[in-house]
Amino acid sequence: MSAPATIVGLGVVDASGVRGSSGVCAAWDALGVDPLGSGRTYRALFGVAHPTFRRLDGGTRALLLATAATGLERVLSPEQRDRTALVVETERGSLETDLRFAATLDGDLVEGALFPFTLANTSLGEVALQHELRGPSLCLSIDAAERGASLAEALALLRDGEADFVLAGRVESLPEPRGDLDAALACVVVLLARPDVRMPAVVAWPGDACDVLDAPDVLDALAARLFAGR
Amino acid sequence: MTTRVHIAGRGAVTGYGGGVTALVDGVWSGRRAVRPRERTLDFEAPTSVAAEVPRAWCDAHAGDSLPLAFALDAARQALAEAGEPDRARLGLVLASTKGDLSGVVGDGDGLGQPARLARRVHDALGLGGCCLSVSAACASGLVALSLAARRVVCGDLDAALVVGVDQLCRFIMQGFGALHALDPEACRPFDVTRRGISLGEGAAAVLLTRDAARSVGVTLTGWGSANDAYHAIRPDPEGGGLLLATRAALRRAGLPHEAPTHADVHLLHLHGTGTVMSDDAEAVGLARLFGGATPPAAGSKGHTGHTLGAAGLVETLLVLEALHRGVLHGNAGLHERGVAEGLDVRPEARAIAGATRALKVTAGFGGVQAAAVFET
Repeated sequence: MSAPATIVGLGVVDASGVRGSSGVCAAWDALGVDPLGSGRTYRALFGVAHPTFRRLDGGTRALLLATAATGLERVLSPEQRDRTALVVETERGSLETDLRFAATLDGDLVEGALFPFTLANTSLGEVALQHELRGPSLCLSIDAAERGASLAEALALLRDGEADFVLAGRVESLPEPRGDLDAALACVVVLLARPDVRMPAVVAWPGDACDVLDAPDVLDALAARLFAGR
Repeated sequence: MTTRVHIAGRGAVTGYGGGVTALVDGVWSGRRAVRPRERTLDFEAPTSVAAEVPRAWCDAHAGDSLPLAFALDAARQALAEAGEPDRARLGLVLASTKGDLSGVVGDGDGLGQPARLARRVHDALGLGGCCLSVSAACASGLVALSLAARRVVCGDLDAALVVGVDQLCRFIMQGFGALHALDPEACRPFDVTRRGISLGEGAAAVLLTRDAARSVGVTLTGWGSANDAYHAIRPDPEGGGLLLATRAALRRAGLPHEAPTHADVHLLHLHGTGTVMSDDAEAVGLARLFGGATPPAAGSKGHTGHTLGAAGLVETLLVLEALHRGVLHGNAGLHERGVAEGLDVRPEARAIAGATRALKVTAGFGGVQAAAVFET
């Protein structure tokens, strides 16, 4: 059975640092910053400035860093980006920003600048803007039972010809636990290409597609496979 | 041969109360659900109006959280109209911006994740298929519809229940207020004096199926979405993403997509929020799509308020009704056009003779643009 997609990029951000198929591999300690970095982190890692990085919430910063770590800028031409979709799943969503915003409701000034980022979808907009990705853009709110839904949807978009490439993955950012949600910092994204688009894979599609999509932590498994030898 | 996706069931809870009949009768009568605030008066917001679900409906459904009550009632209406299909093979796709925020702004257990609300709806209805949630801001409804349609076409699901829902609360109203996006009075989409949105709330449900025997007579033939990649919250003033999304939907429907004509699309249903930038971008983008002059067009947020994650589905119900009646509803709040000439919007309702095909568009924060094509 042929692979349903080619994995042409992979990026990971977690509590230890940033790494990806672009070759970037940096620990927060070595960068001299707290996890997710400061205003200069994006330039330090990728050689280009991000003018609003320091003002963004954790989920958006993680998604931006992991995306850049895939090497997408080098892999995709501008024309290909018009046909590149974004599909991201999240359990915690924008809860970090929701709580920050809600705290301002009782103050003298409601923080309007935070409000758009109470939609996890806005994080995808920042990624689309940074990399000029104009394909479908889809944020999936998931629970544990639906982990991997972003990959299933990404493959559906490729299969149906709605996109030639899809950046798919999961982002979780919550500094403090809330309710039954644990604190978390994790983002894994894969850049997928339609199988008939000839591009080198950075990691092989693992086995039967159905098996992969049934595995709740398929994204983590892919990341582990890519970085196992590094 | 392409698998067709039929609409088999519909449901709604809106500012007009429960039921699709209340919604469509209200809109086609020209009556506005945007009224002086009542339930939301316990907090400040820079507007005097909102399209709240009537107090009597809320009182009658006390017990459940309001978002859950809205979603369940709309879903049950759709299931009933569809003839109660086998729930074991029915999937749910829920569209919402924030689901239930009761634990973020109060003592409830809702933490703003649509997936949690979706799971409650899924379990309460006893569905056996997938349980997915889309959070694509104000475009959530149409994006969810396209996700569900994709699953039905490929055979992952025989049928899918698509539910859009959002509730008015302090978090939402003060958030839009802080962005200076609320009209202090009832909104005026596409009017020269427009100043912003009027918020609404509620739920809408559509049941999609491959089973033509269950169809209410309308088919979803095309869908598409795109990103403006222009700004996190402002739309591309040239309508770039809107063009990509609409062309993708028309292509999927097997229609001319580069330069469609009025023979290809008989009526347009608009996003039409009432903000200066959004209405301008929509008018420019759609006029470009149709070579300078659009087919007859209307938006409904002047009637229903902006129901956020539910909007795309509430408005889908109005598209279906417009095709059924052969009459496009009016644009509440529009008195003097304040957008590009090429957008054919009028204050009053009008008959569209022989209308069988409609294009629906929506947009949302994060640059999302989405479109769908419906045919009778």
